Amino acid sequence: MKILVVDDDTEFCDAASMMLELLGHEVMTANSLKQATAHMDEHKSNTCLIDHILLDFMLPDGSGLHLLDTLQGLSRKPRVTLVTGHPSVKQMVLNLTDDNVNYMLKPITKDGLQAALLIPKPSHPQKMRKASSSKSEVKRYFGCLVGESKVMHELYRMIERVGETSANVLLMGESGAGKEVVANAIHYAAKTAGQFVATNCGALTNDLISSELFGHEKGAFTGAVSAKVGVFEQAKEGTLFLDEVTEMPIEHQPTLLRALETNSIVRVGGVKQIPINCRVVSATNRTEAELAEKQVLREDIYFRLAVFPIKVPALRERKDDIELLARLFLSQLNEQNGTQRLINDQQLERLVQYDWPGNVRELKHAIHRAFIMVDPASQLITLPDDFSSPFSKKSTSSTNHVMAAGYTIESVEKELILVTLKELKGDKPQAAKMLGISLKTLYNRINKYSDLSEFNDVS
Amino acid sequence: MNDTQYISTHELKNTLHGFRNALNRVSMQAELAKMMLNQDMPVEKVIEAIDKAIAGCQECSEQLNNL
Repeated sequence: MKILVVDDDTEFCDAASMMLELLGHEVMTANSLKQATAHMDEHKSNTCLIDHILLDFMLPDGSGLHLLDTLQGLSRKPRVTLVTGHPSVKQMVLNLTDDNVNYMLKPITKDGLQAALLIPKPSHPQKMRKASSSKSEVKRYFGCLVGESKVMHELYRMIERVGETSANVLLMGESGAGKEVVANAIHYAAKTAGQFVATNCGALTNDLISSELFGHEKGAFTGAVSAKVGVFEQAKEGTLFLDEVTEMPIEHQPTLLRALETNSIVRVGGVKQIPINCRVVSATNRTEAELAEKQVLREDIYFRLAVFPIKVPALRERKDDIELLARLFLSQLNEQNGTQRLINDQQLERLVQYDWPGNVRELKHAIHRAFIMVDPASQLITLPDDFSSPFSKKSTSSTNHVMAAGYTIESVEKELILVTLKELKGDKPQAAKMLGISLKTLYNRINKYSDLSEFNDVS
Repeated sequence: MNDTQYISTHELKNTLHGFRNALNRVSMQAELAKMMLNQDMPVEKVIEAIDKAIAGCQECSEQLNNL
């Protein structure tokens, strides 16, 4: 975790920094409101993201509460612990509407510090839901999920059920469908005291994966200058989200299996068994068939991780939500930029017609692009003529939607002829050859299907 | 509250603040020394933390003498 310590007492800053570093965190310090604000500017510009702030009230150039004000409206808001010597601050923190803030009384102890960094989940879910819905008129389920389609309500039902248990969950869904958001929703539904910790198994090198998952002791390997707490320990009494779990090297999977079976881990270079108690939510964008065929996940691990498998629906499976999401993304952009840009019904219809192979992520980017390309006179956003990206082209050509169940052989035949003729720029002899039919049969089909009339040069 | 009462309350608050700071210093440095020992940090660093804890104790003692 990256932590900013803000206090004008340099000895306190130094001691707190060293304690946090020994607990495996990365620390920055600020001795004034001005310095702290400079760190927040870097956070806002994404050059140095801060996860947590330890904040003193009384700073030489103002109150620490001024820094809290600058956090409002940030999409990625650091959590804040107000550090004070005065017990009366407790009531003040309880009065704050922001569930992201807690307090810590001096003198500081190791246990107190660890507890403060594990800020519990919002204790007033009703308050949070009300606040988020008043911001934009969109209802958020479990504080983060948006959608009123049938498949989404089915998903909410499953999240609610699994939230009541401690079962491990495997999320399966296409890239961009929102698997991490669903993992967050499960954590929200579980109402546990611990925090939500996420790690991407696909982004870790072979050398670092054990250290990231299980932590390491000081001197365990070259460069291990201090001990580090792994994600399993960080997620104590909370939720551990293992994204792209199927991309974890197969040789590391037995160690993960052992941790899941024994509910304990051993840090790299250590000997002590450390008990763990967190729910593991893992995610993959591979299909069940791929898991079986390509053997990217050991069978025993699969059954440990997928006690409760959930399929996260692709956006094209919930087209009813496209308008809702598009309006939400636009209102968020308007809010961030202080604008009043608009989208009309025709544009919404175009969004609904497209298949969105990149799912909600692709839709969000498309709205952002259209938002930038606004028509200055009408303040109407400008959608591109063609939504497709290199990935969507690949996707649409490889998984043609006409091959889905529910289409007639006639419609598939018509679509196939159309695609082939377009690909070959209307070259019929070549198209007939590619389709494996005679040129005469091709002409007969062109005559039969009115949709192909643009290629009918006989009539 | 008259001026005399106000001044004595203010002085008391300042004194308590001074005690809290010194005790916090002692507690933090002692905790830090314990963590460093658990993680095999260089002994000089541990002594440095203990020295700061001792300084905090002396600061408390002086403040008590001044009461």
